[in-house]
Amino acid sequence: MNLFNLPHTELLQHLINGLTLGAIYSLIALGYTMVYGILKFINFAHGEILMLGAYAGYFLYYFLCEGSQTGGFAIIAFVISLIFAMLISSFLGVIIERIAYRPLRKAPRLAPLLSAIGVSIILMNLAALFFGTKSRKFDYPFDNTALQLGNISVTPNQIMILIVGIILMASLKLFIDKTRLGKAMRATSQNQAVASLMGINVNFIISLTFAIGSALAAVAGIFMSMEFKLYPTMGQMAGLKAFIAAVVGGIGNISGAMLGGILLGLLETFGVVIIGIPQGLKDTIAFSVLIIILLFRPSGLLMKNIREKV
Amino acid sequence: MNNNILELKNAHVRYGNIEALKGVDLHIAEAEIVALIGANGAGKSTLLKSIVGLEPLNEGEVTYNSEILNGVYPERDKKNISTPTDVIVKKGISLVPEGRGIFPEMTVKENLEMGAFLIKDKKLIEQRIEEKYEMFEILKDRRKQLAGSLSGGEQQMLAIARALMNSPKLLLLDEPALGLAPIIIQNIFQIITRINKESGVTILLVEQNARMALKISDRGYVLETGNIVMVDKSSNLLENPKVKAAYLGE
Ligand SMILES: Nc1ncnc2c1ncn2[C@@H]1O[C@H](COP(=O)(O)OP(=O)(O)OP(=O)(O)O)[C@@H](O)[C@H]1O
Ligand SMILES: [Mg+2]
Repeated sequence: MNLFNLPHTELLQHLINGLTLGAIYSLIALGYTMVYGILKFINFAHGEILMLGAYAGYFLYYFLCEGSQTGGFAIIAFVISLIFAMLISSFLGVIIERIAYRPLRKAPRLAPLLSAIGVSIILMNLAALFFGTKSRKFDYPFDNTALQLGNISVTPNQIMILIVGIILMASLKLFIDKTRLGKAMRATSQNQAVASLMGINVNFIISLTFAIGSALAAVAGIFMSMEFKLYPTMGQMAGLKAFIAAVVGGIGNISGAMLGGILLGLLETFGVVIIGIPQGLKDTIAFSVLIIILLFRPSGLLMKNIREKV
Repeated sequence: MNNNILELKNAHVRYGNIEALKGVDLHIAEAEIVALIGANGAGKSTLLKSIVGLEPLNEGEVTYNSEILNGVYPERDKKNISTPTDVIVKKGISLVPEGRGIFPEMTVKENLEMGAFLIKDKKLIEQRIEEKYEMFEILKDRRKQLAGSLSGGEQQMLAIARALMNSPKLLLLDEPALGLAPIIIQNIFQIITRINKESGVTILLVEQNARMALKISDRGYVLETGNIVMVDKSSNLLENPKVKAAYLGE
């Protein structure tokens, strides 16, 4: 089968599936790219921040409504749990930066990277120890029967993921482009010393960056636990993919991370459809295409090359 | 106590084995323009950075209105206690760094807004931006342009305008004339004089263009490999045979 023989409706169906997956990757990729933009460092514990946020949301949700009921109360409980997950992840992100990265800020660049990998392994193992290794599933707080729109079927969960994803990403873009603190974040990522000369508290901006990136990861973690599963190593593969999405979009570039994530989601979905490779190999095609993109644009799709004149 | 807005006493800064400042004493009175001249690598930039807390002192102290900003406390195991840069800036000191340090991927206007980061009143910020546009007309035309695409002279104007957004009491300038055409240098030095005369801003000017710097300043210091070797009225330094030979190319 190839793309051009696909009936329109089927094409649209895959598009929706791909966008849903892509929105999740984008939310995760933003955290990598924001931290990289400011510290020029890859936070390899980002996937575990996602995972722990998802567990926090999961446990609060089941504490609040004891199971899988749906209806008004379940939705309120879900929203509360989502916000709680975001707070927990933010808090974790900020604390990890303080304890494991900040003391190494003047160390050789490999040191914080290794520290991040260490934190990632520790958190994964702690999660396995306390929550067990079995996968859980975050039940839908609403009836998730697919809606039929013509020949296309869309689940309410997909609609929620798309809407929340779009709202969060648009708000983030507005925050960074237009607000005083958002501009201070951009300034800090362009030149830390000069940012401090503007009266910007650079440490505060770095904490804020970790807080925001981690909160977005928590949302992605909850979505993954609903669409797929919740388990201690869930952040590994998702984190790796989102990291690559961020690199493809242009690491350090906010719009690039959004674009890279969406692109990866679409590639994975259409890769299976077009070439008809087995589902289990879908990562192969997605990664191959990403490598090819990088060969042609090594600094990523959206990387600008404006440098300070000397 | 005295009317010195800024004092450095026995300031030492070491980078590993290199001692960039070897016990510098320097003072600036309110509303003065003081020039600091010296060859490449003399330690001029290091001195300015130590004032704003970007380089911690290994010995000695920097005081601003008699308050210690950066110093070493013998009673605390000689640990450096320097005030964070953003807090120093809040006290009224601005530095225009060497190489201008504009934010290249932000517009001219956004760069100016960053200079006003500590001001919360939006109206006041807008008013100050307008003032800067009057002072540097070229910036008004370029306000929506990314700062990285400005010419060197325009970037320098932007860097100075941005440093003034916060209405500092003490302005530190690190080689504002570096790499600029003579006509632009003239313009920039006029503006520096104006800032001092009209707004009473105290200025410490680091320059390799010693003649221009000494012409517009009240007093001058000569820094040689981490030591102050001369200090005098600028008019005297301009006539000093040693200064003439070493820094004025005569
Ligand atoms: N971060 C650093 N690490 C190590 N050595 C440094 C550092 N910064 C400056 N130095 C050294 O300290 C000395 C003084 O440097 P500084 O930049 O203060 O000189 P300068 O007078 O500003 O020179 P220029 O006119 O070239 O700007 C030089 O020998 C320089 O190599
Ligand atoms: Mg210098």
